[in-house]
Amino acid sequence: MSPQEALLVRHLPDLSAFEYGEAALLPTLMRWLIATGRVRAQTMVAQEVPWLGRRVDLALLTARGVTTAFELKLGRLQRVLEQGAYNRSSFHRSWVVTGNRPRPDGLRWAQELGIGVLVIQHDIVIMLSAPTMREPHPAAVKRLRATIEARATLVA
Amino acid sequence: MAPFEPFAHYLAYGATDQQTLRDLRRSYSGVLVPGTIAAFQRQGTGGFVLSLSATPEAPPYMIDPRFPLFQQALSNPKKSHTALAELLDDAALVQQRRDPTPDAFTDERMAAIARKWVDFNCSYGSAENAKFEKYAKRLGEELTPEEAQGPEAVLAPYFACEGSDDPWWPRSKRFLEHSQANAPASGPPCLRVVCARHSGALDELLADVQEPEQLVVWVSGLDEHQASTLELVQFREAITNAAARGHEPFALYGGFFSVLLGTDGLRGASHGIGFSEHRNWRELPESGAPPARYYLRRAHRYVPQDLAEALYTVSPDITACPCPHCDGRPPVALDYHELMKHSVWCRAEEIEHWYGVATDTAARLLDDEYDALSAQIGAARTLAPRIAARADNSIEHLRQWVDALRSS
Repeated sequence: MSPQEALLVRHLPDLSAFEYGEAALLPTLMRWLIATGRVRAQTMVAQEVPWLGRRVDLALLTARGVTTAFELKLGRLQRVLEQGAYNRSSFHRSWVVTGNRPRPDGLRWAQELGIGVLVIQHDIVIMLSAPTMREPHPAAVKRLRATIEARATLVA
Repeated sequence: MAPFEPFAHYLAYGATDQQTLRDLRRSYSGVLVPGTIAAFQRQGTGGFVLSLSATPEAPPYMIDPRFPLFQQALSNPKKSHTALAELLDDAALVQQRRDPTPDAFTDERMAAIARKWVDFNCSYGSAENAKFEKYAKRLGEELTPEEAQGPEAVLAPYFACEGSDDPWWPRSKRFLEHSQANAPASGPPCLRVVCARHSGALDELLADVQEPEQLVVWVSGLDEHQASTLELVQFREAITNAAARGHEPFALYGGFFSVLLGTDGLRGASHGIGFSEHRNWRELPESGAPPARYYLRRAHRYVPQDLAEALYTVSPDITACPCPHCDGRPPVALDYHELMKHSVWCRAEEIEHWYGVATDTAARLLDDEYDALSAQIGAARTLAPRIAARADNSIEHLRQWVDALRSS
């Protein structure tokens, strides 16, 4: 097993749990995150992270303390853009991941809000826009890191 | 008596709120302890409440019997439900299959329940203090169990009623009579709780209370932020009429609109810390820690913390708060306990600034605030469309309140 495959298995040990709904986007997303170096051996990965009364679909915490949020949605972009915009207030980076190409106005909003957009179709990830980096309030970051750590899959 | 010294600010006790209740004990008038918690976490709750009552500030407290809990089927009863039924020495109060009928509450049964409840209240100050020392230590003060106080008053068991011809209503009245009959002369007074199932029923129920008295009111499910103008007007008229008849009403649940009703005769209100400004009697079986929310001071309501943060990014002026818990920070920086303390501080400030303000002045001020907030939100170009819509919705109640205040 390659190191990249081992990393995938560590974070998604049972791929059959991700066959339906928005969760079906997760395996392809995770492969892409690993392949592009966004998830490394020391990166903490947490799903369904409870945060400010909501649940963030996927959260990453790097060894350097940088936090990234991903919200997954198969259908319309507006709802997930709302989640992505909220995540901007406490994460360093915020992405939305969708199964459909967004309409131009949705993409324009995402860019205006500094939210990254990924489209996943046929196991291929297309990056339509990259998120802008933001430095959230230190108190929020501190709580968020602790929350991700508590929720993350164990680092070997 | 404390709940009727306007404008009394009571906080409902929850196990997660101990830190806030301890730290802010100079910022509120009293504590309302749910009977379910008092019965289930008996020594822990007793230790906390009694040690608090022994401090120099000695916030008074009352125990809410939450009796409408037993007016409905409890298909999945919690331990706290059965604990309260056991405390009342009536395990059959927990009915799992169907709602009990009024006939199930015979006069003899109600007399026995009232006796147990009064006994529990009257001995609370001395019997529930096994963990007194543990909680006194957390307060950081040298206190002795002998300094602990009993409840300020005994809230008699009560039922939620549709109106004065509802068969539950005469039983609710009998509960008070039985409680009074069992209360020792030297003990705390027994208070009536008038629980109306809807805003239209409250005036009728209060009109059926003949002699002027200090009493507790609860309109089931009256969410001040979602209520129609008619519902708010009905609530306000009921309070006005009750005060005109010599009653001194205290609201079991209430938010900022209830503070405004101080001008109409409401003497005080209680709310949960960070939540529970309203409650539907059917939802009494549900419990749990509240989601962390931010009290938006200018709109006089709780909003999700992330929405508050979005509003802060539009303009820090929208969420500006001079309280020591915010300390000039954005909403997202506040942790759970800071959010709770901020909310209690805001309510205390509201009472200080708004209690007694003439109704037409209050309406004008709220109208102006709505216009100002609406303009700030409308001018924002950095809010995603759905967040902008939620922001707009979060201030709509201000217009309902203005209409209700101007309706007379």
